[in-house]
Amino acid sequence: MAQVLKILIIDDDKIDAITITRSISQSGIIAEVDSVFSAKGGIEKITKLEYDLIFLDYMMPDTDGISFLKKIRDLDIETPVIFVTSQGDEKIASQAILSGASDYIPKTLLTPDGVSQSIRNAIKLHESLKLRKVTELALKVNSNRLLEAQKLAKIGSWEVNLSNNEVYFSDEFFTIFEVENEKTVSVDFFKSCFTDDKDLALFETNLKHVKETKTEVQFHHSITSKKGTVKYIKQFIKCLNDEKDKPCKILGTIQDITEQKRTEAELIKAKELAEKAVVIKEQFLTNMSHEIRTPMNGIIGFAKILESTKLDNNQKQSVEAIKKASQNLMFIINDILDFSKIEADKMTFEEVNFSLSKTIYSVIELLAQNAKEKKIKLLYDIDAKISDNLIGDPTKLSQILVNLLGNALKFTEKGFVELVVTEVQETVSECKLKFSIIDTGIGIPSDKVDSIFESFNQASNETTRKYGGTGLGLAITRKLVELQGGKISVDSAVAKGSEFSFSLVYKKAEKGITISPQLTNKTTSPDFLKEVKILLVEDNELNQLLAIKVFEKWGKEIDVADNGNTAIKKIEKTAYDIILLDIQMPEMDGIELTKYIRSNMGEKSMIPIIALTAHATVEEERKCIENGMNDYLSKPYDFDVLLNKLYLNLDISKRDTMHSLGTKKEELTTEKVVDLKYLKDFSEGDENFIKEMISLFLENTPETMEIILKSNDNNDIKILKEEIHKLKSSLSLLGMIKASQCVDIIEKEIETNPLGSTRINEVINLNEICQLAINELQEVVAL
Amino acid sequence: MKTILVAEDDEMMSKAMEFKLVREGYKVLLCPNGQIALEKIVSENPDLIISDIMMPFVTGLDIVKKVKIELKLNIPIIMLSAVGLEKTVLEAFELGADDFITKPFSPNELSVRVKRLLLKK
Repeated sequence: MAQVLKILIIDDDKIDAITITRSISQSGIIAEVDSVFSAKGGIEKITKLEYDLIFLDYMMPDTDGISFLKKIRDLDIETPVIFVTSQGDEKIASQAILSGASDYIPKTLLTPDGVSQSIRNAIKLHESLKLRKVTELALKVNSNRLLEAQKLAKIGSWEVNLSNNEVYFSDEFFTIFEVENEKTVSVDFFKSCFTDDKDLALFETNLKHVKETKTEVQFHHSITSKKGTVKYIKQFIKCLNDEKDKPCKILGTIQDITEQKRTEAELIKAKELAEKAVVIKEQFLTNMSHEIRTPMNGIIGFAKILESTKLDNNQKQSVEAIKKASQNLMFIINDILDFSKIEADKMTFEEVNFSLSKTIYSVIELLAQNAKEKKIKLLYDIDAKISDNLIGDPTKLSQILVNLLGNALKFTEKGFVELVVTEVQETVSECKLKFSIIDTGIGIPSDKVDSIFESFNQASNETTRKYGGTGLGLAITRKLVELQGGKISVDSAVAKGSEFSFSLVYKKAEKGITISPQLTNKTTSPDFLKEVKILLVEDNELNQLLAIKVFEKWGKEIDVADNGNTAIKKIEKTAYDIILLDIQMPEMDGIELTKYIRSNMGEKSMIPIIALTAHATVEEERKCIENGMNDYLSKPYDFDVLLNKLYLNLDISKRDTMHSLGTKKEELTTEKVVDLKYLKDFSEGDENFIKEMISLFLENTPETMEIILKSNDNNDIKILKEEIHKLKSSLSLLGMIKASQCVDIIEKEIETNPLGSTRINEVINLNEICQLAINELQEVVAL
Repeated sequence: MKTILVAEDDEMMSKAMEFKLVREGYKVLLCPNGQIALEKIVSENPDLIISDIMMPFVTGLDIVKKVKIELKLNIPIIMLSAVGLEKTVLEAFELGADDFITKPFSPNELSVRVKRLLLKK
């Protein structure tokens, strides 16, 4: 002991005190020793000075040792105390130790050795006591921290000792379960709080599971606390193993996640609301499209009907204006619908065989009139290397091309618009094609080039005012290109023109049937309708009237039912071959009626049904087909499309009349269609005259044929008649006997059966002959 | 030099006739439609008119009616007709047309009929 011990002796017997002092100094312990002779004096000293050890006489005149010890301990003084007893009584000694004394020493043993021994013992004991106290304090701090942490995180814990079934629950556990009397808590109480029996079963399973697999399990469930509050808790449970790797203890934590659950529920609610909003938006678009399409159906339909009646020039112009304006409006509506489809990620692409050249030709054909009116040349060039049979979505390609070419025409006042298709890359199975649309139009300022593909954006507001449009066209076009894996770019100079180009990869198709989009619908002849009984179920009078008029045009009378119930009665009475069914009707709607027909009408349950709907969405189409309808037609419908759909959906036996159609075409042989003998006779040897005649034919015929084909498609009999007649002279001059025969048939048909299939087919035939003639004559001119 | 007015909306046909008639030594006035033909008939006073029957707006019949009935001009008119328009040709004769040729005609037939009518005049 290197340091100096401070020792206090409290003894009323001075001799004893001196003995102790002397023993201490003789023992070799370095100490400062104070002596007092009464308990009172002792207290005074102790409270003033800090001592390392106290010798205390058990028997004091003013108090006994045990009371004194108690007194100083109450004063929070932990100094070790050695009792000095005179009796050597074991009873007193043990009482002293129990009261907190470090040791005792009988007066008889107050020798240097005894004192030194006792001092050392007492100090040692005191040191260890002190250490224990520090450790205990640290432990208490830790456990407090844990408690606070549990409180803060709302995590309680519990344990089950598997060997003796002893349980432990942490304070926070009680808080979570709202238990006040902690003694009542047991595993059974815990289990009784589970709100749901299934959760309890899961808990039991999990307990078993952790015991068997040593894994940790996490699960959630609700509980009802002692006070009846429903709470959500998250549990972790785990099994601890003993040294022999046998399960000995199960530990669990429970966390109150009620708040979290509540937030979660709120989030779910918010998500549902957002989803509902999307549905509402979709519904709104569908409704809007319906609301606009219903009257549009009437406007476009009746304009067409009106057009085919006898009109003076003024009236014709007005009808033309109505048609054009309503078509423009339809373009806008379709743009908006397309755009929302793209926005909603609902745009789908087909993978079908198609002919590239036919697709492009039909696009050019569609826009040719437009170009002609503006006196702009519309040119196209397809690289001859490109294989014509491809796989992809021809309709979307047409849409892109019509959009870009239409735009080019719109923004070009003079010059030309050209479509150039080149092959960028080719593999055995695929080819990458570049489509360039070049114009000599107003161009786009360089600072606007980037923004023109954005929605609702044109180069300037002024442009919008001058050229009109929704500003969605290019955004849609770009999306259509990008969704097919391509990219669109533009190169433009103001006042010089623009070049839009994009590349798309198409798979090459095996030779076979190809589809080209029907931009100019090849007409089916209405002849097949003769024997067909048609029922129209439609509640809207305007639409009824329109349908009646359309069929009247085809020389056909149809039955009409105002509503589902009338329709059922009519179907029961009459053997209809096909039903045209409006989807939106009050009381019994189209889908309900279809279901009724399909399941309750026996033999008649399989009548083909074509849905007529103003909902122009894929969703709606799917709904119709899923509910047992055969086909779908969205209003405003094209009359020719209606006719085609009727034809396609009729039982095959019903359309026999049409059967002879496609066979005639093959009659064309390699035989020449032009005979220049007549012209040669006429010329009396003047070669230039012949050449002049031929170039006139080459110059005029394509245009004339275009008008003829268009009027043929549109059943525009008056124009067809005029143009066919004009052609007649040229045909006779060039000795085109077959073509003249065609013309004769067409003229005859126009007089007797103007809307018949013979006329339509003969015009197509005539066109083919003329195309051959053009080829032949081009060779003649080249010679 | 005799002047012949040709009313024909088909360019090839009118050019062919022009070719033939010019060779025969006539002056030819080509009119692509009936309206222009009527104007030129008044302003140029041709010696002979050859008119297609089927033309839009102002037809061959309209021309015959105007020349023979309304203007009472003594100009011979040859109708150009296609096969199958016999009924219309008869109508034209009733209105005062002088002759008709069916397309496709032989060039010589054209020249003979033209000569004959001009001589008659």
